[in-house]
Amino acid sequence: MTARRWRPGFVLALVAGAGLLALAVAPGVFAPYEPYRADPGAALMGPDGAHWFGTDQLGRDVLARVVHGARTSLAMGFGATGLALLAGTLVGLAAALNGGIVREGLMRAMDVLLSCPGLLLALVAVALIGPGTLGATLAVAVAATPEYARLVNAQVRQVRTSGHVEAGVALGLRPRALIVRHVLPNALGPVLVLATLGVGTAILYGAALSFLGLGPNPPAAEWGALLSDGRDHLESAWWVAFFPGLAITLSVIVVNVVGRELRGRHLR
Amino acid sequence: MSLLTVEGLTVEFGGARAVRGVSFGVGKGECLAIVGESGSGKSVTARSLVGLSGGRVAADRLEFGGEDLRGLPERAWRRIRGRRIGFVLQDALQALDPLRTVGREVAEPLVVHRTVPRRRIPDRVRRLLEDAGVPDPERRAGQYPHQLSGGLRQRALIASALAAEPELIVADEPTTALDVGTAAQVLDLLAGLRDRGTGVILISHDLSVVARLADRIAVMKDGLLVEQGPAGQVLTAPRAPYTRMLLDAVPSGYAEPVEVGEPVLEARSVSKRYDGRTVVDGVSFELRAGESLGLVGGSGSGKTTLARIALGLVEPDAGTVLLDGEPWSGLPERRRRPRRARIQPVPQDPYGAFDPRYTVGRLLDEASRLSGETATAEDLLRQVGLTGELLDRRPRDLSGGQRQRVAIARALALRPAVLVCDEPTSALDVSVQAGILALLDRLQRERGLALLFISHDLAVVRKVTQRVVELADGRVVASGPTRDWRGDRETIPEPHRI
Repeated sequence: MTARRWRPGFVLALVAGAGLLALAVAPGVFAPYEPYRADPGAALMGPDGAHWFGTDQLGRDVLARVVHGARTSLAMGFGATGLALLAGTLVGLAAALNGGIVREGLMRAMDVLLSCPGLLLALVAVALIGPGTLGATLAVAVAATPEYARLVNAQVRQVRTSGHVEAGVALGLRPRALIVRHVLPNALGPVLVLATLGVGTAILYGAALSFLGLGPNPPAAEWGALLSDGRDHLESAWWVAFFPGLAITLSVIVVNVVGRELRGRHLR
Repeated sequence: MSLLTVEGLTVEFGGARAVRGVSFGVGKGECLAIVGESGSGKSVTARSLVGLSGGRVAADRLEFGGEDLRGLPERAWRRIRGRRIGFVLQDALQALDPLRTVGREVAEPLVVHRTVPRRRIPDRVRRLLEDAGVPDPERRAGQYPHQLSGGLRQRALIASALAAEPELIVADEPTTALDVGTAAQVLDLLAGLRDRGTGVILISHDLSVVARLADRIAVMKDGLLVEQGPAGQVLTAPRAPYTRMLLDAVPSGYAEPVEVGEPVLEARSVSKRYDGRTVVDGVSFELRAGESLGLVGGSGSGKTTLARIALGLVEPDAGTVLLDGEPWSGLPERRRRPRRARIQPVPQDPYGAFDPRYTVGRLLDEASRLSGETATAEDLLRQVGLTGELLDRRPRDLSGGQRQRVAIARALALRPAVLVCDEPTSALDVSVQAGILALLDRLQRERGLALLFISHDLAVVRKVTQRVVELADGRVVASGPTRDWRGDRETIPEPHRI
């Protein structure tokens, strides 16, 4: 039991996750240069002692831009997940508590959304909302909402029939007290755990929208946008695209390892 | 000659010793009962006899039919398990594969051990089911476990354990999940096997079960054997104080008469149907302040549905329920809520009745606030024989008996007039059960509480109730003073439906 509790992979992921968060909170401490300072004389230089990750086509330090990109990329991922969780909880709760035509209407609508690929949904949403950091975050949240709505609906309906909620009814608790004190807290536990897994997907979708030019405006540093910048130089200067890509991959892995471990513990 | 000889058996789980140096033996045609409360190590002992303990097993001697079972590899165990030693588990629904028919399940040992030619297997399965007391075996063999009642599943499991004609049967609480009538049939089946020369090891917490079948009884506590001897001697003249305590805890005798007051709860021709099946059919009863009314019957007789109707958790399809002489059924929840404090449940599974995130203190405070009860949570705990130490614990950190006392304390916080107790002690050890029954009896007398007491255990019903209503298939088949009621013969239900 205790051996399983702190598996090396999980510890490593926690450490890496803490590192990524530190980058997002205080990029200035870790970045060797200003992320926006161009130096045309040093454009597209390979990784060396001065520029560990090399420089891009404007001579900006790639390491500095990746470090500074952490905040936007992670904020989009976590922000979108948080918003989706909130919206999904409201929809799922409304469906579970009302039943009948309200539930059918809401949940079938969610099913329709779920039947579309998530990224496609996010693209449609960003087209309606408009591009930019906020627009892309909202779009990713829209794409992720149906999944949480469905889960919350199922959880709430299950917890509602459990013995302790029935005991609450027999005690004479008012419906609102029952839901706020007993139903929601017990229903949301597993949902929160699954949301940690959703953060990885949200980071990926956020980066994808940025890559397509629908995210933060240039010259803002964001991993998806950086990846897009490097696309034209893949053959001559691989490092411009490689390191932002690595950052995306790494953070998705970290989030998934942590999320899976939490889910495993929760289910046990 | 001894079939199984065990000397100095020890089972460890990561340093914790569940069984500590236990010795016993079983001969052909003999039934040894191993009795003990939860945590005594009796189940672990049973499982180590078929190589399924899951812990580290050591023994000075562990011989079965002349073969040393110590340190057998899993392959060798598979040769013995099922073929030479049959194992019957407590929970037949979990032990049977839900995706396979009963017939295939019973046939499995025959197929695996190749004891019968393949073409004769269906015939043999039918006979095994028939011998196990499964009516209409041909049809049953084609059904899945969920289509069978609990009693039939347990008998199918026994049929499967017997299929390869093992020399020894190890049965771990084979009747605990069954109602009285079905349990009696299962015990008769085991008795028949013993009489035909099979050795039987019966694991049970229930001394009345053991008394019917055992030739010898071994009593376990905390992983040790505290007493072992012929059944008659252990049951009538126990040497160990622990055995005496267990025997004293077995409910016996009748409840004292009480002075009753006004009717507090009345059911008038109440009926309820589920999925086209009538579960409760025109049941009427009256419960007066201060008295305890037993609601008895086999599984599926409608007791629990009736309890839920009384609690206002389920609406009857027909008939009415009155609480304090006023309508209670058929009200909108808004009008029922202010009166809910008057009637409170004492559940079978108190663990499930508590929000797992709440501490005992918070659970009790929540209830007190609803009624304006001024007694503190600690006072409430004291009223049910607990102390304030438990206030910060969560339900999962309590023992079964403590949980049930906390459930009663929470009900008391609402100052109810009626407690609806649905099998309140069926999940508890005998000694713990005795404490809970005494508590309920005291509350009934001191506070004039009325109890609606549901149980399938006749001894408990006699001990606790002044009057009984007996149900079968949702209908009242008998009612009257408990002393005049002869439940033993009448509650044994017909072989099950479906």
